[in-house]
Amino acid sequence: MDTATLATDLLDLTLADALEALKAKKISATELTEAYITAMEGGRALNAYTTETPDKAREMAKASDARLAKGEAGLLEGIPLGIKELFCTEGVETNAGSKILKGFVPPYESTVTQNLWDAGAVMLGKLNMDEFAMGSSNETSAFGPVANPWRAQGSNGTFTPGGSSGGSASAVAGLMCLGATGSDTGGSIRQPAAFTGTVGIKPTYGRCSRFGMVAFASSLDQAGPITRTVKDSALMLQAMCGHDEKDSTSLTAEVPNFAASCGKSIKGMKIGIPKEYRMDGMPAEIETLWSQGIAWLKDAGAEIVDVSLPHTKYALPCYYIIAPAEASSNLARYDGMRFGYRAEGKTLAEVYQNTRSEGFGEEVKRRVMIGTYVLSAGYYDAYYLRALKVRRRIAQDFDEVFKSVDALLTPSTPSAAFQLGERSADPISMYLNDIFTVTGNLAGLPGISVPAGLDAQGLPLGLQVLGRALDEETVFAVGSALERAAGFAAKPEKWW
Amino acid sequence: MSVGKGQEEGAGHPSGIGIDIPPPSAFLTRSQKPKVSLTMSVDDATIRKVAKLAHIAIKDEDVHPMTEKLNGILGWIEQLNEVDVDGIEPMTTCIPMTQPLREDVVTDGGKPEAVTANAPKSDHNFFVVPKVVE
Repeated sequence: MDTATLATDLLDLTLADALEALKAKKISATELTEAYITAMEGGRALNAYTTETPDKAREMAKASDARLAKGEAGLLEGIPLGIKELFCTEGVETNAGSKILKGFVPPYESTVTQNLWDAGAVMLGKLNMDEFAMGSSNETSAFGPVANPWRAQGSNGTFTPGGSSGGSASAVAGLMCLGATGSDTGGSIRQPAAFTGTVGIKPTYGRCSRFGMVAFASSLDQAGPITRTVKDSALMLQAMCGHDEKDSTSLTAEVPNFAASCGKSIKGMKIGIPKEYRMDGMPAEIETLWSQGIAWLKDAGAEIVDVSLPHTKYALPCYYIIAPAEASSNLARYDGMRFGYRAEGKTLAEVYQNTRSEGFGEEVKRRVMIGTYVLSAGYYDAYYLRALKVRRRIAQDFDEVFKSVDALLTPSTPSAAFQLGERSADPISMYLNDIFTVTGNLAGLPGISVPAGLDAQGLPLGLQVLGRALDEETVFAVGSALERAAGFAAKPEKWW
Repeated sequence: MSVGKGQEEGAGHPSGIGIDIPPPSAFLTRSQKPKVSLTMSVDDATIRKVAKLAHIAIKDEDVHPMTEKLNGILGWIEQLNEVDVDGIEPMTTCIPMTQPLREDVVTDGGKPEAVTANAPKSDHNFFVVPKVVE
């Protein structure tokens, strides 16, 4: 076999396959890493990676090979991964897609990435994202938008990979890493996964430590993986999770063996179909896909139950008070004094104002302004406090339905990927991307997006499974049942 | 797929996906007062004030467009007034948990070089900042 064929074969392995091949010594971590470095360097047209760390990758792969030789393999030994730009990586630039953090080199490592390295994973580089994770198309990044490897049939336009974890989704779909970290505040893992034919899970709030993650909205932010298969996500999530005393909201619950739930029978499980997610004017293809998903789960032996989540329509407006409010507070630290960009000014106040005006992009400024306004004197009760109460109503809806069902099935997104520039003029039309995912953040529940089919234009569509808090195992079981039934094998045609 | 379907069918908001959300103007003109009395719109003066509070410089020509964008968003958010929240406790945490406490001891520190390494300006492990006191 010549080298080129071998490299392609290596890229075709899933994360789970690669782990087995590495343990059986059929391939080495170094070979695998070299194949991915080549793919990463060959995929620059997608703008998925903002920083490539090939030397670090080679060094880590070599160490993995040494551990594999000694039979000391970790859970993700020798697996090349990409890391979203908002996870602090010691000695490697972490800019959260913002000009204000350009050149920031953290002197410490985030807990999630440390957990991955402790499990033997290999870092290929950092992945592009919407600025401070505020966006659904990757167009708010200060380092340019990311391209989706997928294009509509017959189109040579550039489609969004979604956001904010757009670089992560594009790199996984474009076979430029075996898995990538993402973060999800309103849908930022699940929406990009749906747009790129990949799998993405947001675990229960508190499963993954937020230490060393650049903060957007702390009561909603949660890390998770984007991978090619449900089992790959289970393996990667397991390595990412765990209690961390450096994050006071980190849960102390045991981390189960998530991969063991993949492929488990869902016979007799009750799956809820929330009627409020069937929205007026929803594209027919999303409806059809959803009905197909229901049929698949029925065939797998699940019982389908119609349920109601009456406060669903208030989730997005509620989110657009809470998230900007928390963001305006979190982003107050960017003042140009201790780290990051500093602009000139005649007075100290002017230095602050110019630094933040020049350092933040338009969407970030808009959200900081909204957050400042809703928290300002006289408006706090009417906006912020009210939103927190509505948030509880939304969470109570879920408590109620989870008394009678084990999981919920919904579409992941209200449409397939759209072209860059198509929705950037109207903030609300962009916000509506998260209509099916944001409820999971507000209630803190685990949710997975699984690729389930292609639309008429040949673009991927995803289905979402939402579960009870701390019940990722059911989410993985139902997710893998969908995956098996869908048999999604389509791949983007390589144009980059 | 027709992502613009809703628009063609004349759905309320130009969302392109046709979800039934009335345009912000519908809220601004409706006669029925919301339960919580609120002016769900901001003017240019308020935008200038909020920008100042947020420490963001805003050019004169950018004030009015920002007012309009924010009013669009605030008008959309106003539908929260329809929700009955009487007797509902505000939700501040997803999973009920007690605040963890630790010993009040130093666990890290003594790394002034690392702390100042990313500063725009530093000198002998001190941050150099613009003059604060005139």
